[in-house]
Amino acid sequence: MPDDLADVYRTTFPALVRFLYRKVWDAARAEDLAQEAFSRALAHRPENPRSWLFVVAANMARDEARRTARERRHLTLLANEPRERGPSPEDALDDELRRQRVREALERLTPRDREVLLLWDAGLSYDEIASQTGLARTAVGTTLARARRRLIEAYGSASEDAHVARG
Amino acid sequence: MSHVDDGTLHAYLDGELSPVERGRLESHLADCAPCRERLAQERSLIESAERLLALAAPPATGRDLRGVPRRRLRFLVPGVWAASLAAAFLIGRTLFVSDRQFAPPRAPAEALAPVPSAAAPAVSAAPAAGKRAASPPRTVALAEGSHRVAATESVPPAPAPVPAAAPAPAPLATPGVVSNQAAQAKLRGDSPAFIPPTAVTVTTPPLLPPRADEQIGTSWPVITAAPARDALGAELVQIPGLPIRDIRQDPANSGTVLVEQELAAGTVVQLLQARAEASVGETLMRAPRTSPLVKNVGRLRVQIAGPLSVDSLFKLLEAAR
Repeated sequence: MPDDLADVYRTTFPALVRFLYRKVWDAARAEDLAQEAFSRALAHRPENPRSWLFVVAANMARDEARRTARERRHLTLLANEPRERGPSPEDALDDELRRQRVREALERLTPRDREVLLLWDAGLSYDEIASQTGLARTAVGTTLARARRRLIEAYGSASEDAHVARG
Repeated sequence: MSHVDDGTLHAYLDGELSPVERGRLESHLADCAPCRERLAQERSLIESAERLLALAAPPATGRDLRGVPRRRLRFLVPGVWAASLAAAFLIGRTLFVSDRQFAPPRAPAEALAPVPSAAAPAVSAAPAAGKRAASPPRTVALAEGSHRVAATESVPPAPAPVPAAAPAPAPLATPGVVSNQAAQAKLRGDSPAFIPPTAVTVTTPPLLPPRADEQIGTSWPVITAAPARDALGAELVQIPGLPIRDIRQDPANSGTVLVEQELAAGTVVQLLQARAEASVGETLMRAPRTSPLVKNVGRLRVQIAGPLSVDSLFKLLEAAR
């Protein structure tokens, strides 16, 4: 039983942080939420802890987003500032700016496409994603294909915007 | 078979087709150059998407953790060791490194001979790993408020080592004597049995100021298992199934050993251990008064630490052997 616990932690915690981070965009907060989810899993002992953790995490992130919507808008504005000041060429963009651009691209996806993409990236299988999102298993691949394409397009067009803005 | 849709190609590249579906697709691909070309395109699309997502990985730097108060545990004098004059304290460190390596393996979709890019690396695993693996270690300060503790006065000095399994004579429950059933119950998620505070131990004022942000034990020399066993006079206590990262010895007190085990990539749990009957004068003691994170394991007194909730640490400590 404790080995299970450690296994679940080992395989899930970092992915859970990553998943949450792309929802709350605050690394420390994402870690806190992941720990909270993990603590709840310890208490609840769900049958499939990994899927369960992501369901709980998604809910927590949603609550979090509601609570901090205003604050986040502010942060987004701040985070946008470097770009408005004069974006550098693609290679010279620092990590933060790239992250911000990916974030914007992700936010242009539909909620469902984004969720499926993030769950996949967090290591969930098609089956797990299907049961979590209510999609048919066969629709997961299609959704992922669309989400990936749109992410790349959105990122590319953001880069173009930046290029145009630069002049 | 008609041409393949995107979803099927992605499921194939993600290793998520059933063997039957995969066989059907591969035999189609073998005969269909346009679909092979699309497969290659979708493969590069997936790689691009993963690269983009990797850019949006959480920034893994020490600065993010240092400011998080919940991980900064406060160490006070524990009231639990009336008779077992021993020590352990707890420290936690995390270093966030690659996590992708722990994701479930995904079947590479490379078995198909006619596909031009069949020699390309597996899609899912490669792109995300490198960047995060390079992240620097981060350290969490956990020693804020820690105090060095001097002798307790109400406890008779132990003249000689007492037998390992002997229960503490004091009338309080030590965490080491939790029954197996109780431990199981706790592992099922019941609330942890907090050790009742006790007045048995008379504590002296702290001899050291609180040492916030200090990386306790990280400067301790790394030793191997054999001398550590000798120092403790017992087998090392560890959590089964977790790789041991380091064994360290307190340079100021050779009877205190720190075992660091990796719980996840970048998450280190520390087990500080010393002989349960060690003289208090030789031992540092840092633990919250009501800490459930200290217990006797065999002849050793062990304290656990790590960047986890107390509840999680408690359960891990229950598993320690």
